Amino acid sequence: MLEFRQITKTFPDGTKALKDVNLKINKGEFVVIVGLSGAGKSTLIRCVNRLVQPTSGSLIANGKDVTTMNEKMLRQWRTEVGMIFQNYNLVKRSSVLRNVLAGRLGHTGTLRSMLGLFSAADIDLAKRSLERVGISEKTYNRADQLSGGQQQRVSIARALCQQPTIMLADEPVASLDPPTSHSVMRDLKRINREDGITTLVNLHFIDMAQEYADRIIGMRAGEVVYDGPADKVSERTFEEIYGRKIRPDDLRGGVE
Amino acid sequence: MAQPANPTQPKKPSFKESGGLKSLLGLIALLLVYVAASTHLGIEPSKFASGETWRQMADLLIRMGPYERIASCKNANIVWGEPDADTEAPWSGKTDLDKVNAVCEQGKTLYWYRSDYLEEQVSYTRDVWGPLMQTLRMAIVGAFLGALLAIPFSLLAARNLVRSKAVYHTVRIILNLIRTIPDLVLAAVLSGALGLGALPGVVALTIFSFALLVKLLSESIEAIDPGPLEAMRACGANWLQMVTYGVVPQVLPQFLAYWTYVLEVDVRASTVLGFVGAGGIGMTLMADLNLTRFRNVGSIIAIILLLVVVMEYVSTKVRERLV
Amino acid sequence: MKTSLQKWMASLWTVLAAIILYWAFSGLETHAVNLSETLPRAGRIFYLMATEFDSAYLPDLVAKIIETIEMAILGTLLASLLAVPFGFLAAQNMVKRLAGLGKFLLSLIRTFPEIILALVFIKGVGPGPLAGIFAMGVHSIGMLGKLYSEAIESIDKGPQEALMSTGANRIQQIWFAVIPQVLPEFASYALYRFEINSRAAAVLGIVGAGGIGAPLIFAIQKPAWGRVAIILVAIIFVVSLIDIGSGWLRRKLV
Repeated sequence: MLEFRQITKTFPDGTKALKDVNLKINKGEFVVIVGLSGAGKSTLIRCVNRLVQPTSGSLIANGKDVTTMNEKMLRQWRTEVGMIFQNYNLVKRSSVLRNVLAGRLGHTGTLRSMLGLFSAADIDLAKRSLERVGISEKTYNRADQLSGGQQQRVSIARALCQQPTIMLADEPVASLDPPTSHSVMRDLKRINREDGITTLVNLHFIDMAQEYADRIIGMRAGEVVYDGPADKVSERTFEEIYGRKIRPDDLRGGVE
Repeated sequence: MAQPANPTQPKKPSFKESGGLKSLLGLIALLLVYVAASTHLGIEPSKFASGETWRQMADLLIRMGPYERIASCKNANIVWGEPDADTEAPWSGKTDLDKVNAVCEQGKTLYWYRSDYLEEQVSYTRDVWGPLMQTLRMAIVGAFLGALLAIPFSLLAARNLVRSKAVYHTVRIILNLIRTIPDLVLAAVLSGALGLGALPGVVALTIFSFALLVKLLSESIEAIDPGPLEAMRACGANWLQMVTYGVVPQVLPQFLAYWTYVLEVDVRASTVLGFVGAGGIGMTLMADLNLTRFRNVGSIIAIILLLVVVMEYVSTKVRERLV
Repeated sequence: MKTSLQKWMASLWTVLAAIILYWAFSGLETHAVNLSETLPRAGRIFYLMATEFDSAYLPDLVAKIIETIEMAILGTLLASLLAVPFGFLAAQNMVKRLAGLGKFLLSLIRTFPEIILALVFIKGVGPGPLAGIFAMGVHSIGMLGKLYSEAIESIDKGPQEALMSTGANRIQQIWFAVIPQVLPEFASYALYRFEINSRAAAVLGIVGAGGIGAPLIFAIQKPAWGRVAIILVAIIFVVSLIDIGSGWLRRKLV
């Protein structure tokens, strides 16, 4: 469903973030990408919605090449890809509901969206998305009144509101405490199961990777060094991926 | 585990609660103010729709440059040309008045670029060198005297140095009152009182710089680390010693930076003080304006712009190195 | 601890400063500073201001002051709205390479002295408040545009990236992610500008652009010091009020 073909990314300052990456992601898979900082995880998933433009190679999604899409097709594609970030990236001064409705912006005309004229169906979808992540009671609060975990939930709701086929998560739990991290990962997993949304998550916590992933991809220095089912992975594998012994801060700990 | 679907949906906050009412009232107030102000003043913004307005303004701006106006016609388009180049043109070979009529008949306004005008404008710089230097002198002296006066007063205006609340508040209030007077108004009044020339300008700039510097400096002083001050007080130093050894070292770089900024503002201000007779290149500008010597006015404006830009650049560089 | 080089540099700067100061002081025509003449003169004028305080002028004064404030309001209103697109065009995170050009244009507008701008507008629309409003407006666009662009450049870029990833177009990104962040700052800057413009409005009248400036100059030229006094008091009073009000509003915004 999603295919990386010889994807390479070299940044203007010379950094080779991705070197000839080849991957096939199947529909409905829950994939966790692990690796040290700077291994290229962020760059890799940002290629999927072209927040990063690969220097060469092609990214085939549903038969179309993401790397060569024009403006309009790209925006259309992006509405199908939901993304959540380490820093939640909510608009702090806006209400939770407005933040979630932002997921429908790609489907709403510019003028209508600016006047706040979202369709009743859209508003309903937003509210239901909030219900699914269990945070309805905060619908009308300002986004900055919420805790970190709650804000991440809202951003998941925003992604859900897009009704995406793919979900990307860039270090979604790095800023959260252990119990909240597990809570968020469980939500992601549940949504993956219930809606069949292909999910790609960046994590640097290897215990969480083992617990939640169907498939694990290990990256080092811009290359894929491991790609296999989660149950076949051991601590040894991680040591090979990281190129060093496992340390305590590679583990999240604290299962609820 | 995520909660099951919430049976009690949160109530959507009423329009009043969500702050919508406040914003709406604010906007209505703004609109009312706009309508009231413009009708009271009798403004017709529609004047700007007419090309004539723009043409008039453009006319003034063009004549401040090295251009000769051959003919100025109402509701006509601006056209450029070269002296005597268009022998085919309807106005060649005609007397001045006929020339004007010929041009206007064509619905055009004509300006000619003249390189001799440009030379004239550039050499005018030499003529205004005196007033220009006077402007700079005014700014420097004003900033310097202002700083001299500001130092003792900013100590009085700093909450952490003044024990008496009465003194602090009095100084603050007087300072704020001085800062409400626009510098040109001050210069105008002073020039009426003290006569034309550089003196009222210097006094105005001194007062203006003084007030600005005291504000900036006192805020700086209030923000310093109280530690050294406490230490000084503890070992029995008197107020003056505390200031010299505890306050001055901490605020000196900031003071120099502020003073550079004030100097920059003063240079900018001193260029226009002449408008009200307070000396400097502004007086020359006013004189030329009244004599409708627009090219001279243009030269002076260019000089002022250059001066201000250079001053701004130098000031920024110096302040960067200080802080 | 200062190195000996730094100390040497500091002494060099001090010597340079002393030379410049000497040049400045000596160049000014000191014959004008005849204290024995000017001080009593100034004293006499203060006396006149106090004793001949022209309270009869109050009704006309109030009308002119209102006119001045209205000028400042309209000028600031105009500028605070028009400066928004300029601010965006000068912000590096919005228009990348064009930002340099935008900043240059804004700084050009800013450096042009307001008074001269007023004169140009007087030529265009005739003397009166309209010229003053547009002079203040244009000048303020330069000032506000710069402040706005700095505010825009300092925002958190995360929310905008997130909206881009949902498929929103540029305009939607700006409306939903950038504007909510910068609007309070914009309003605060606009209010600050209003404080400054209320002073400028008093000044522009001196060249005929409406407001209290012209009556003030006439009073100085007569001279009618009592009237000058009451005009000054009015200016101080009104501007102080505006400063206080604007300061209060700005604190509530941030």
